[in-house]
Amino acid sequence: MLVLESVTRDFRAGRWGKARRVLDGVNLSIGPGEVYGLVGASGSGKTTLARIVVGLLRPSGGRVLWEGREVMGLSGRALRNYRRQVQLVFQNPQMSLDPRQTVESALVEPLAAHGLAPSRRAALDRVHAMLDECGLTRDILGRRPHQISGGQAQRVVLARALALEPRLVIGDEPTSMLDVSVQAQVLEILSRRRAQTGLSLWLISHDVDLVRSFCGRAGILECGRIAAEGEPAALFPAQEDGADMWREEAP
Amino acid sequence: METADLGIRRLRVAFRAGRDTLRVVDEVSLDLQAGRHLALLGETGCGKSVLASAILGLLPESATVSGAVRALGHDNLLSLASRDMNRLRGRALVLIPQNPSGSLNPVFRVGRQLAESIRLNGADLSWKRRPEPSELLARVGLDAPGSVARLFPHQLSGGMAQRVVTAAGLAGMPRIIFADEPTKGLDAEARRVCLDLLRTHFGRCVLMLITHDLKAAVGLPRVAVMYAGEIVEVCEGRDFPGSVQHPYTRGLVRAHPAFGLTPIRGAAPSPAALPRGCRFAPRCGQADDHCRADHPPLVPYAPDRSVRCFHAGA
Repeated sequence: MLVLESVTRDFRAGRWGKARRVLDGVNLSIGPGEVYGLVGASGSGKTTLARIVVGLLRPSGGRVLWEGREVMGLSGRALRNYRRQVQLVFQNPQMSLDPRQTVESALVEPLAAHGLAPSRRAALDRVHAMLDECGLTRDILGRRPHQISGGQAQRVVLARALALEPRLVIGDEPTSMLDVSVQAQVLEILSRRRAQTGLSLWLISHDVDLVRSFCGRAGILECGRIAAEGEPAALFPAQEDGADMWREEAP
Repeated sequence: METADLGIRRLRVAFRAGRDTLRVVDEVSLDLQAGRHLALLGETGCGKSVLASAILGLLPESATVSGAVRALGHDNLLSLASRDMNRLRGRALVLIPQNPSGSLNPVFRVGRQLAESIRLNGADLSWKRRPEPSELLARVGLDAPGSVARLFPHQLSGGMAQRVVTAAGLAGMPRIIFADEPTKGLDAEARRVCLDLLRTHFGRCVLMLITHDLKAAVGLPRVAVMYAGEIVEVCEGRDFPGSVQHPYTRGLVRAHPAFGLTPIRGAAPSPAALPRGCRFAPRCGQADDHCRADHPPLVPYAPDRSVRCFHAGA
């Protein structure tokens, strides 16, 4: 469904600075209904890759293919459709929401922009359904981002993304600012939607435990290349953290 | 029982917000000993950072603090005059702040900021024993301390910034250290380095590691868990995470990706509207009428272990 072919990206410090290769020929593919985990240390280029896929950055080389068509060549209706089908969820939910916008308008606007709601009534119905799906209550609609908790904000961001019925959701550290109990709630929303619609998920994280338990396939991004790819349990056996006690049975 | 090097007794912190009184920290009592590091676990908003700020006298006037904190030869740190507190803070009593890069001044080089810490907080040391900024940076394991000292905070990575604020904490002669979420936002390798750093440099000190990261708590001699402003469980490090008692602690462990990623239903109560009985009852699978009506006390069930739950041990 999504195929990356030797994607490269250079960044230059200043106009005459030396180019630094952040991504160096990344090959990766994600199929329908798949849950793919991309692991890498800080600065390994994970976020750059996600931004290239959704078209926020241009690759310096290589191709991004969606359903066999090159994403960089899309325009007009096809591009709009691509942007609806592939949703990116960032790490910091408060910064993904407009501080001046109420939750209601943050949720209604994309529906209107993509022509998914013929009337305001229909849009609100859709928004209410999304709130239920994401475990939010209606009193949140009138609030602004600073008036809600981080966990609520990330659920609003998810509701906004899922309302567009995407086929691929890319989560760039979507839960690393959240507490463990909230993290599990947020991931449950994604799993449930995947079970219902066959949505594909691409989780970008540096939490090996998370990828091991949540993803079906994983890759390690190291120095701008996919250094290894395979089943999470095989890629990350036992503990590399030296926390042997961690392997004890759960209560 | 051993004497405590930091004895927290019935510490309460309340904030006024309009007509409401927010009980953010409620009757917290903890004894900490030097060398027996304690992890204070809790989720966002449970009051764990406010607890540390209260002990260090860093809360705004709007906060009402009561209780007693016995440490460093003082009967109650909370009633010290601000002059006396200033003499302890940053020297014997150190807070390694949350959000390290935000805690550094963006317009001064790292070395200059450390020099200031040394000048202010190393005053108890003789001139000869006062460290150089680069010396402190070397002690926290930075490879090229001289060049790091010349950097501005925005040029540091998260892991480097964490080491720099830790280095600042080493400027005096710390005896009691509060490390507030030191591993937040760090990747696995940087997190390991950071925790090792705390262990090696503060080995003989009283250390309270405030964290929501369950993994960071593993391997520390003692663990305390906070929920909605109160301590719900205190246990030995070896009990954690395998044989914890409180339903909330168990829920936290089960929510961790390594243990099944099972969410805890609902959300923590607002400090303005705390439930009458057990504060975890609305989210707890074991809760019954007793839990909803009466507030359970923190009951010791073994040496250095206690739990706040009517059903624990049953």
